[in-house]
Amino acid sequence: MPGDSKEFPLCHELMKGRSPSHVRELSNSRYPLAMYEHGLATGETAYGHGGYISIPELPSGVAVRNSCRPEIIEESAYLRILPPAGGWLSAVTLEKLASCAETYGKGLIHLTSGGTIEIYTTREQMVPMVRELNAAGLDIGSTGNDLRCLTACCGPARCDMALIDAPALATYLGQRFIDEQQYPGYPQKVKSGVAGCPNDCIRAMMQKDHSFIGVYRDLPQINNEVLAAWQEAGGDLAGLIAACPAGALTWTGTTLAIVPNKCWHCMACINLCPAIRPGRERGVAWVAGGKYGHRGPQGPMVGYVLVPFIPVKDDDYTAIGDLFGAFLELWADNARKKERVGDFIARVGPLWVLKELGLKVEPQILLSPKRNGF
Amino acid sequence: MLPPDDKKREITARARQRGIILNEDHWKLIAISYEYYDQHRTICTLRNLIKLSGLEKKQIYKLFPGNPIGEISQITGLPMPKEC
Ligand code: SF4
Ligand code: SF4
Repeated sequence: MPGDSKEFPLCHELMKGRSPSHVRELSNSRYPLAMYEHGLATGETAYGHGGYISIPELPSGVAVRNSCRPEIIEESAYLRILPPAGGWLSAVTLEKLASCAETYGKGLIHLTSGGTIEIYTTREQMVPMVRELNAAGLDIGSTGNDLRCLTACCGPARCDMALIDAPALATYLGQRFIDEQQYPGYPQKVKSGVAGCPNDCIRAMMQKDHSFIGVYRDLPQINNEVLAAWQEAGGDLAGLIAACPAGALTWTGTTLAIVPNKCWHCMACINLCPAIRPGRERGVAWVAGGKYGHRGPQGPMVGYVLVPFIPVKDDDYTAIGDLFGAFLELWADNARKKERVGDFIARVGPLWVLKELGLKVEPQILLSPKRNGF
Repeated sequence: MLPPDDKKREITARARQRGIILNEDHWKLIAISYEYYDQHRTICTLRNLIKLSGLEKKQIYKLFPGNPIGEISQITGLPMPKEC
């Protein structure tokens, strides 16, 4: 472990205890701990603003953070690796990433909140590292004004709620739009996510410029036999009925029913009770314009539900890809410089966007354009 | 609209310094950039360059690697917009 407790006392404080410690990870790598100690001591990070750097062979996926303490480290350059959708990484891939981080970097990997994988290295080591990553089926991208990596929830590979195969759709879109992830050319970055159901565990609707959410169009299915067993085992029927945000659940005295035109097709009752399962008519809701960022006139915002239901049959995602591509072109041609998708839609109006794309306007887009799918 | 000959020689030299040997496609993009600047007083964006030249984005990245518009600006002296 580099540095003893006298050298980096503040860092060592953060290594104590049984809970995992980020400083333990940093100190087990060749990360310059003096930089972090500087931040802890002064209350200000030792890293300065950074930017995207130009490596001729690598138009995207390379960036740097500047250093305010060049005597410790001159700069911190890094590669941004496109993640396999759904957060799925085999031990073999992790070993490849680890070996690249050891060989070309500081033996350190950063999993970013945006879903990408970053490895810190030097400008000179970038091209050889990318060659090795490519040979292992991995690639870089997702920096600058490009299409950022397509993220997804774990989907049906692990979750019983999945209404659509979120990682499969994200992989389809990622492969179809790979050039857009690797050759920046948009007015601003575009983040996208796919959630398998309206529970939206990856919070796509609130933080991604584009989210595709698995939805069902018919009514949830109730199995009254399973319901009786659930009640017998202590299931709280009154609590279940009260949890419905639309007041659509009714109890006849012997059976539970759903008032069709009241139901929002959310997941509240399904999450609470094993006797209620999602409807069978499955598809995708397209939500555009979500963002956490404070920049832009709208600030942070939930996306607009532009198309409440795009049917998905036999895992054919062509129609979704066509729509996604058409929107990106429309936005890129008409957006102001640095205008995120949400600010763009707020400025031109969701109805204009739908008209330009030749799409039908659904009444709920007018009544509640930003209503969370759940 | 190509720049005058002496300017062209300057551009060729600057491109060479940056490791780019200019061919016909490079000059096509440079000419479009000049014309666009003349009309709009701002450097042509990558999207407009793609549309006006008919070349693919990937091809333009091959011709002017890294940051194509930044490269064209460095080589020709056409100014980048303030935000860049
Ligand atoms: S969003 Fe839905 S399908 Fe995806 S992990 Fe969450 S509950 Fe499961
Ligand atoms: S899906 Fe949602 S709105 Fe419909 S009955 Fe269940 S809880 Fe109520």
